[in-house]
Amino acid sequence: MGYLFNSVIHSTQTQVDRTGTKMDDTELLSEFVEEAREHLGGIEMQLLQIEAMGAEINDDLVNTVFRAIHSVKGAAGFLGLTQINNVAHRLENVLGKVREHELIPDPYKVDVMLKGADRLRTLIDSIESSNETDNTELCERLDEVLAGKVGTAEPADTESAEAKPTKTPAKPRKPRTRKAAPAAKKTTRKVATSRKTTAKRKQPVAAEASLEAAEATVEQALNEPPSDEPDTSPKGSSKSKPAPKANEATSAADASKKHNAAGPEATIRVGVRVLDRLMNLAGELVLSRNQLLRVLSEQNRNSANLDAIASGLDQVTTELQATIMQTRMQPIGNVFNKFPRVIRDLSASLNKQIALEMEGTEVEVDKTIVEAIADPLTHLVRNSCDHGIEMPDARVAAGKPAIGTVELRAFHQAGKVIIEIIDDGGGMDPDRLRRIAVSKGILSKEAADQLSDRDAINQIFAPGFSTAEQVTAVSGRGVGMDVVRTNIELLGGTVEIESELGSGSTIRITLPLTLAIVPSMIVAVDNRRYALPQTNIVELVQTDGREKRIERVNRAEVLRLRGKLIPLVRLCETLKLKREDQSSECESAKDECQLVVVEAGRRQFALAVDRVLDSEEIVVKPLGRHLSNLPLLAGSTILGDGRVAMILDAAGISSKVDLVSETDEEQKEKHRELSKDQATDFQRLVLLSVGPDDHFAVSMDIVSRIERVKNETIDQVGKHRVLKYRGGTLPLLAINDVVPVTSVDDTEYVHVIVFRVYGHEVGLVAPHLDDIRDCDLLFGDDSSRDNGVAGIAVIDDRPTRLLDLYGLTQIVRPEWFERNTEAQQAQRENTAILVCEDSPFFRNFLSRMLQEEGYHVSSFEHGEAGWAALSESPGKFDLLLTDVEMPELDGVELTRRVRADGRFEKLPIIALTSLADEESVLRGREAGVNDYQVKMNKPELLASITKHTVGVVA
Amino acid sequence: MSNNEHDNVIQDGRQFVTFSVGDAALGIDIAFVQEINPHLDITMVPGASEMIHGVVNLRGDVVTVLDPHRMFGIESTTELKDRRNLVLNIGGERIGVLVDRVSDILTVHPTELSKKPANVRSIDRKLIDSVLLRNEELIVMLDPANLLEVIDQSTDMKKSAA
Repeated sequence: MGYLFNSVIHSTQTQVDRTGTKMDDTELLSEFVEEAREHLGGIEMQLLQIEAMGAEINDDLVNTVFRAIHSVKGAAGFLGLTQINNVAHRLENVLGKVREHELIPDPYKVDVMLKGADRLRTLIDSIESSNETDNTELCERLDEVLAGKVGTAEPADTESAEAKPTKTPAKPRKPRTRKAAPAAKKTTRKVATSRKTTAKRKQPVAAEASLEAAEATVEQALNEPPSDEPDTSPKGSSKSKPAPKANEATSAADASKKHNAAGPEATIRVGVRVLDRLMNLAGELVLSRNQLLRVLSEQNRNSANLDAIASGLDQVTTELQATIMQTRMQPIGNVFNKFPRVIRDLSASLNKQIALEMEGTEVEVDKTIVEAIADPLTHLVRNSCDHGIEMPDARVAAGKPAIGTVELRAFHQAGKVIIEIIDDGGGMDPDRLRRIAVSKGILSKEAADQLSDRDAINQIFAPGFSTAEQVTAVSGRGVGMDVVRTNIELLGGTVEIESELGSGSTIRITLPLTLAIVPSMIVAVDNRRYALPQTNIVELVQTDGREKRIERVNRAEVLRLRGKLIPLVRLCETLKLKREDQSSECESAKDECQLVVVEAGRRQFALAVDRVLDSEEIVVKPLGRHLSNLPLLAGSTILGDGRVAMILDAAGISSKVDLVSETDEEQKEKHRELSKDQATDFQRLVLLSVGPDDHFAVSMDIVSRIERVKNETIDQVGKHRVLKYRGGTLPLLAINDVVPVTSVDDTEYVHVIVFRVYGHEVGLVAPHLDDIRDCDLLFGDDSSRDNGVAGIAVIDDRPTRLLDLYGLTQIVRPEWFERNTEAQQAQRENTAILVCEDSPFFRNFLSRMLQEEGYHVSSFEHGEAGWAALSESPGKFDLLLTDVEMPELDGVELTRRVRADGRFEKLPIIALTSLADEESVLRGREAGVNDYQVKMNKPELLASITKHTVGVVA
Repeated sequence: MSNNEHDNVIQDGRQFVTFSVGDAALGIDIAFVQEINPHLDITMVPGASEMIHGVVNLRGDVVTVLDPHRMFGIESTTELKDRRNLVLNIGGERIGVLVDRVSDILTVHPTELSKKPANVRSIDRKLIDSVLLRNEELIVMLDPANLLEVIDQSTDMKKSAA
């Protein structure tokens, strides 16, 4: 509008009329900043090249740097930026002398120059305050360098290099920069050495000399100079000197040219905002095209012309979008290019010799990735240098070259970008990492022992892990690696390590091609659409009331999925709008709904949505600053129909909602630990109480769900209690009705434990729900056998009765329980079952139960004994009923052994477990288990036994 | 309104876009106004301040839209579909305001503008730049920079409450 137009005129005027030099003329300043940055852009690489070439000064290269600094100096002086001008001036002086060959670049001098360039960059970054900075120390150092007052003991060498050309190639300190010709493989190799070891370098000379000879031959092959042998005659080598020098010069010039944007391809500077607008408009164009195509197809016209035009438009639009996407792509070299400097400085401070190789610098990635990956990469590279590469002595002692190599590789694979950091250092010791994991409390010893070597090595990413014996300044504060992994995962990528002790390690990072486009699922909640990034999604679940169902634990809802309990979040509750009526009911507050299981930060939880719509690749649009801090949202996107949809942030949701504190995994881990030491059985129990003195437990495995209702809603119908529930009635069973208790608390609310018996739903009523957790089932005493009580144990220092729900139900509703027919009785008497169960309680429980049902039972304490009995009398047993979790020979192993023996190929095997987790079920089925049953679910167990034994000839 | 004659006479005038929020007459310097759109599909944002209606798709950009009725505590006089989205550009930041009606563009000489009074309805003093009395009507000119700040504050308060 008017105001914009005026300022455009204003800036053109100041461009034409350059005599106004107000510090607060922001237009001019930002132009200066832009240009200066470009001048300084390649300077680091160039200075490093200059250092590498040492006495073989490449005039063109030095000139390039000189001119760049000269321009910055001039413009700064002109604009009144005195400090920048000062520093640049000093730097320019030094470069001038180098250009005249009056100063020979060595690591110290180059270091000071690098610091000069760094300082210029810093000053330019905070240009407004640059004049207030104090740079006297740096300027003094530059002046000292200029005067030749400092530098390492090189004068002798350098002079001899001038006088005796023969010495030049054999000079110990001549690490060469090998640059491949542009057409060849694009590898850049830089050798950085510690400046303190000039004296000690005599030893590796031999290695270096041969290295140089090798390099020389390669360069020969590439550039065809005459050979550059160390012991040629003066004549020969002086002839050879200019030739490789010339070639080096051209290849150096080529390389530096590539760094400036002025290469063979013309380039133009474009602001990032303009590119973003282009992207937007391309997106809008795509939408319009879609709408047009839709409308056209709805018209009932068969016009070939129109079709051709539509298809042409379609093609152009698609290509336009793809090309615009390309404008945002940047070579990953932009990130890699800062590493030569990093490695150089690190080598110096660590007293190591490290060479850096880079491959794939031309691989293009979206600019969002380039920006996001720089920090994690830096940390990983520093880590490799610090902990990976060994000290030169150690390396030589191990038969490796003294110079360690760190390689950065980037390439595309399967639609992703892979970045590898490969070092030939000492590698990682899986055992050491295991020990550390245990000592830091990250894993139990048992769990650590069970880790594969690969998993042990990847423990380095676990929070709280740090293998550095002393925390070094470079890396290793114990917060590094797990933050790196988290940050990479936030980008939708993965990172893992492979390592071989003694040889080295490879860190592999996988990244999506762009962050701006995120594959997502679109879901509907409360008639509004939301996008959920696919990287967070684990699976989609439709509840079916059996293996996948919603339950209540205390007051929270959870999803039971194949035996695991996953916290449930109802999105319609979480995403309520402040502006709207808070009391409106959630539409999807039912038990049958679509669930999306997501994972954020290693925690899994389930989101309840109304519907799952499509899967789409969406473009992420940032929300304005007033909305960008909302924890539940990760941004917004524009859907196909032009409407805006919010993107959900899984991590934000998980932190906002009160999730069940311990994950299922953690609990399992805990009792896996404990159960290894004794022959125990862990059962997940629901702990109830009727009064202060009467505590009971029920096995969670047979519980369908738990409800909390008002006591007054329970009705008495005849001698039965019932609850009006979901349109029907639920028969109830009060504990005190069937089992003697001391007193019953009268509470407003009671808990109803719902379970199924032969197709009927029943609820067990208790006033208090104390806890649900895994308990060690040392229910020794099963002698107190009131019907319905399976045993007594001490839990939390209190005697607790384990209830046999089926036994209880049989007391109250005997009509539900079928009487065995005579035929059935007879069949059972002829059926022999072998039971393997290490817990005495369960062994007795099962034996008794089966005997009561008429079966012959032989029971054994562990797998070996059971196996012995089986193989002694192969024809005797009709069914093997085995526990899974047993010490020594577990149920799955036993099954394998049994199946491996030809005599028992057809023997039905039922495995019993208290943990119905998918992993052991799969293992069992693979081993040959016919069926899995939960220990305390009598009806199902009996049904399964019948199924597998009827019709079998003993 | 015969403001045209008035306009021709005035030099150094400021131009204001005037609009109504409920029965309140408000205005804002035209330098900050980017465009005026009919009410577009607004998407609500869960967890956002109540002063924010939601966001709209403005040619590919997602732009926040404010609810001046909530901000000033004034009842609306139009249906949602009849309102207008006044898109402001404040120092590069774009934000929309959903108003009931957009009126004229007035050219005003600085001397006509009065300092803000002690209290104008429930509108926060901070938000007022000045007031104009024209044709016996009091038009309150808003200060856009402070507008953003007020929203910032309401968002921050929510954050700490959350």
